[in-house]
Amino acid sequence: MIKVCNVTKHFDGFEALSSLSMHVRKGTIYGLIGPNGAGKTTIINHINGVTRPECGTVTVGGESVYENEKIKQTVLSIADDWFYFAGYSVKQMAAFYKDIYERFDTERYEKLKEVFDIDEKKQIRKMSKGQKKQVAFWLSLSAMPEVLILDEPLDGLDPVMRKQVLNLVIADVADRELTVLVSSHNLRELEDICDWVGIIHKGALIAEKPLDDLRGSVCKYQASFEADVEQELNALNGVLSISKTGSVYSLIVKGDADCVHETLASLSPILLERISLTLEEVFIYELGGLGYDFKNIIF
Amino acid sequence: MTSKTSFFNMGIYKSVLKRYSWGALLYFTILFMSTGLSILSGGYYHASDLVYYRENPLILRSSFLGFPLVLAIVVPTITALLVFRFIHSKKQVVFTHSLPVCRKTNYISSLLGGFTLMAVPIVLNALALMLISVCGYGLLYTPADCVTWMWYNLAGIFMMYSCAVFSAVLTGNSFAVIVINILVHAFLFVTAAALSLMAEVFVHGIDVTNAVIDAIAENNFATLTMSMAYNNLSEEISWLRIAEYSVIPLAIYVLSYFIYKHRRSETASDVAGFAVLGSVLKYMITFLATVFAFALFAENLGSNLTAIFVTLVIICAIAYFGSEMLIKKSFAVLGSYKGYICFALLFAALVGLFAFTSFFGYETRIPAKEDIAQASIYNYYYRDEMPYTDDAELIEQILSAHEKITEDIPLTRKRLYDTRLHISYKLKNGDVIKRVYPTTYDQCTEFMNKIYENDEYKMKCEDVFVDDDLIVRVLLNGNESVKNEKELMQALRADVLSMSFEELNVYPMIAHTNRGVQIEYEMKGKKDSDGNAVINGMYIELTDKYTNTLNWIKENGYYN
Repeated sequence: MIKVCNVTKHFDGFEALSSLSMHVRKGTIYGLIGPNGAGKTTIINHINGVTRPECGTVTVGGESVYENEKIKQTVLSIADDWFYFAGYSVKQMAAFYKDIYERFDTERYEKLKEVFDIDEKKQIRKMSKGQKKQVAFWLSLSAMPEVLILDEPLDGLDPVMRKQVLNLVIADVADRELTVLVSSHNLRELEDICDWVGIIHKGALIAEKPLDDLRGSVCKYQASFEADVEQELNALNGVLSISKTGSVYSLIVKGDADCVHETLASLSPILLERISLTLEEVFIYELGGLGYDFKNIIF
Repeated sequence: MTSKTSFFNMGIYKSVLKRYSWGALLYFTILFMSTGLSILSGGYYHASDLVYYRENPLILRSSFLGFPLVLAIVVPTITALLVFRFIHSKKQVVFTHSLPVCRKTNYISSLLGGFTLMAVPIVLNALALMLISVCGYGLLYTPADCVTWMWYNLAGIFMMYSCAVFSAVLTGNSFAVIVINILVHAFLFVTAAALSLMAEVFVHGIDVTNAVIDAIAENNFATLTMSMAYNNLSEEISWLRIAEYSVIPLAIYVLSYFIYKHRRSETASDVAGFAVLGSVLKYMITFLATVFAFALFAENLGSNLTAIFVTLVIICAIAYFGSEMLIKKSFAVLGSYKGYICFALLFAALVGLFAFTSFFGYETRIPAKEDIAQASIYNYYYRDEMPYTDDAELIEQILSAHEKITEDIPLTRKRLYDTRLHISYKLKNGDVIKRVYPTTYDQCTEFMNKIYENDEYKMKCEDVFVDDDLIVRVLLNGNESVKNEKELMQALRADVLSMSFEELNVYPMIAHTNRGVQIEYEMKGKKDSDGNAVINGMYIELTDKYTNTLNWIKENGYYN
């Protein structure tokens, strides 16, 4: 559905995107994760047609997005800091969306009114951050997009409303093959909803896989040995990090986990356990390998 | 593949109208208070004025049209700033450009929305004025005058809005829209004025005229808009002029579209919407500020070379780093010192070339005698026509005076500056060379005394030799009329012919008397806008050198 091919972008000499390519399949929820300043918002602005790529192509449904009214009718985005016209009420903003988006479904808008318990005559600027977010979802989902781009979508929403909003989005994905691109730092939340995950770092996509594959590609072993095996452990291939707490070793392994498992088993462990990593841990270890490591700073 | 797009989007247009309708209401109210309400409450029905109103409709008089046309200069700037604010805010630019509306459609819809917001109050006011006219105020102005009033205002906003939109799409900062809009209107005008000022200080002999400044002003939208209020353009304006002022704003609107189309969304909130614009704006502001400030200071610095260059270095620094701060919105600008050094060196070199050398040859250019058809020399400050002579001997004297005056060119005009000596040549090839040299009375007298030995030339120079037919009246001491003017004029002329230049023009400044003759005469071939002859006046202070005149006065019993 969304194809980004070798897109590069510079801001005042700084390379914000470096020949980035990504592919978001139709009817999937794609989580875009990366550290601050990695280029997430920049690539989102390319996909929703705000920014013209310096080189490379950005297509949605096979057509270039930039300056393409037809394609942009199907692409909607909700930024973390969602924009609305000052002085406009929800009703006025809905009228604007209706004027702009041909597929705006008034019936759906009315139905969603019951989900989002918000006074549609109230000025949006007088609402809380969470309420503004709800309005953004309300209007965007009423516009019946084929592609929904969400930048920190659940920030400001209470737990109940988060669940409610996610359910609406997932229902659209299931019912009408809505394609969703989500950028968030809340990896725990993404883990629950994403089918695919892309990790962006310094303007380049360093990993793009189905969530399960990505989680499976890095695993954690906990093992304990009678003998001193430190030298053997250090010599293992694909081990990202080794730490020891008491007599228990923790190993983060990337790549051929079976081979590592066999080697560890051959060292006669007292304890040998394989543990799946969370998305957050995968993210930290993937980027740790690229030098984006957290520092243990004690003041 | 890019899809086909329409030119107009009703959603964008409606949102512009809806968001800024308060502005249109405010504009209408102010217009109505200054026109319709003012007429209703003003008591303009004075019988003595009614005849005058037939020829000069009340609402087309400058007192009525001036304020609406001032608004027609200010309102388009505010409108463009509001309507195109979406390219100045990072949040809004992302929202707007993510909408399924291409830039062309967005630009046209926003532009028309803004124009509608300004045009509707004008049209409604014109209708209100018409209603007032037909409801008993028809003697002050007619409904047709309301249409003219409306067209003047619409033309004003049409022209001014084009420049305001151009400024708005050029920058990513709302405050900068105002600055750029002022620069768009004033840059050429201010540059010309500033350079004139500087030339007057440094280019010795330059004949500074306002011709360039006037030409710029005549073609400036803001001055044109105001001139609609202060001149009755309906009688003078040609269709060619109307076409010109329709096509130029249209071209600016088209140019603005291409600028908007190619500007990058991420420049929102930056002063420069384009990388190159930052430098252009910086050097425009730096140049203007430097030229103006330096010309003003240099005039008072005299010929002290060190003082001049220290001032230049300081002024360049203030202007350069000040504009850098404005563009970068930061005080940390000292890092760009290289640009400052380049600018200061270039400016100093330019000033140096003009002030200390005859690099351009302007100050020292004296034509060859054989190329000259006529020549003129005089020290009038203001004179429409120079007293030219083709007398070979006189021309030689003028050339000699010119050579002497250019032998020691002062650094600035501040040095030894009492009066100005105008030297002018009409060459045989049709060219005219004009120079005006600031000089001292002593030097001026030295040259002119010799020249005034030629009676024919003196008669051309002195207004007292004006044709008798053109004399309107002659007054003694400015108020006492004379019965036999011709006799008095003969006595005056005889005295003038007998006196030297010094006695005629310098001595009266020393020997103050309470006696004088005021002569008013028609300027030959000059008519005012009503077709009447232009009257000029001269006052001759009667020093003791005017023996014939004083005797005549005594003999005829006017003075004791």
